[in-house]
Amino acid sequence: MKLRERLRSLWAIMYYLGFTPMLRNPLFIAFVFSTPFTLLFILFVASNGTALPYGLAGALTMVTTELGLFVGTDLASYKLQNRFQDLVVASPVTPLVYMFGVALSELILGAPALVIMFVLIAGKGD
Amino acid sequence: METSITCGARPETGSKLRMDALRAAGLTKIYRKSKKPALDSVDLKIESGQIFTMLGRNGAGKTTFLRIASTQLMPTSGSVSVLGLDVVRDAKQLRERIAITPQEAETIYPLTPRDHVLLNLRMRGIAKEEAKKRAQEALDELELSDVADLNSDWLSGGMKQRVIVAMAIRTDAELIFLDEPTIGLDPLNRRKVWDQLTRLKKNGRTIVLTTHYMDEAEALSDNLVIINRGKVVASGTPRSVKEAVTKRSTRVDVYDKFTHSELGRYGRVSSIAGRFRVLTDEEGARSLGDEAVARSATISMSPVTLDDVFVDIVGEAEKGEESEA
Repeated sequence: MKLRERLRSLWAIMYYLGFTPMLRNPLFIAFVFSTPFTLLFILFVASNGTALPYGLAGALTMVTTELGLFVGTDLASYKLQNRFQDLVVASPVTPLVYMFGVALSELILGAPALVIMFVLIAGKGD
Repeated sequence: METSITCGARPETGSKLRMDALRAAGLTKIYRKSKKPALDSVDLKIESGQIFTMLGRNGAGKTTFLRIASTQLMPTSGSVSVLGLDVVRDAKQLRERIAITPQEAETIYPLTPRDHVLLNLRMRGIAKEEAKKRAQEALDELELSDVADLNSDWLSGGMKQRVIVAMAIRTDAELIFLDEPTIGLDPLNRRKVWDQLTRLKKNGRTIVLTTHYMDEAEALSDNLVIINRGKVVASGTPRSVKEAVTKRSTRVDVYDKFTHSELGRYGRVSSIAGRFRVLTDEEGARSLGDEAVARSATISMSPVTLDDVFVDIVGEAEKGEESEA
């Protein structure tokens, strides 16, 4: 596979496993948001806003950890349930492109949460 | 048992110049923690441009063979070359030239059938416009156009299975492995898939498929093998396997007024769903027919099918192994 084809391949995996599910089912985004933002809210209220910077740091860690776990569960599902990984293995797609594609597709799903988190950190995380 | 038919020989076409699409020699696979080999010294040869079918019971080793040949699994010993490339040494180059339809694959939520086909084509490096065109063709060919943009979760099991097949048929692969591609499809939809496989063959592709449907093997295959407990027990064209293995051309189902021992002199007798099935030659069928008329017995006659042959061969092989044990 030439570099151009590899990039196409990477984009296809990101687009169909990241963007498309996000557009078809925006609830995915809310799911990524829900736990860290709930904890952030509780921490904010309980500390009268004083622990917000720590809360933001914790929430950011939680979002990225969540996305990492999603990569694991999705890879397991693609391998065991959908058998998509079998199809990928017996194709020109390299393991690196596949792993990056799936990881970046999760990052796309988590992007709205990460963006909000960074905005909050930039504004309040002093 | 007759097992000496050369797989890949097509005397009816006389095309000796055909290249081998796949060649396996002494292929053995033993899974970890398993005492028995999943594949036991399998030798076979598949000519290019053919539809080649692997038949066998569940767990016979068909999927293991397909997984090794499609570079998904390492063999324990022996060698397999596909399109002239070694599946272990040249896996990277080989993957550019093959495609697969995995067994029991499921669609991905929330992608549509069109998304699935496009994902596979784009992932293989095909440009956007070309991929769109091919995806539409694949969806049309498998009559999925009406549901092309619906969430795959809303589709019936048969439609989902056709989506999985559609993902493979429009790739540039020279050899396509299909592991039970028509499982769960109704007879009409199975024929749609058959039409596509035949079309692919006409376009020069080689198809290697596994199936449990004997009629499918009979209708599609240029050559086939029957695998039992990891060993090839019969191979050849559907016709040659039937003739060479059974040496009996007629199947007689006897519903009443005969005992098992009485029928034994006409041919091989088996008991099936409350009746006796006798595999016999034309002469045997004629005399059994005369005797049935004399006794006013209910019988039906038909030519031997691959189904009968499969039961005959695999049943015999199992008996043989049990008695050896």
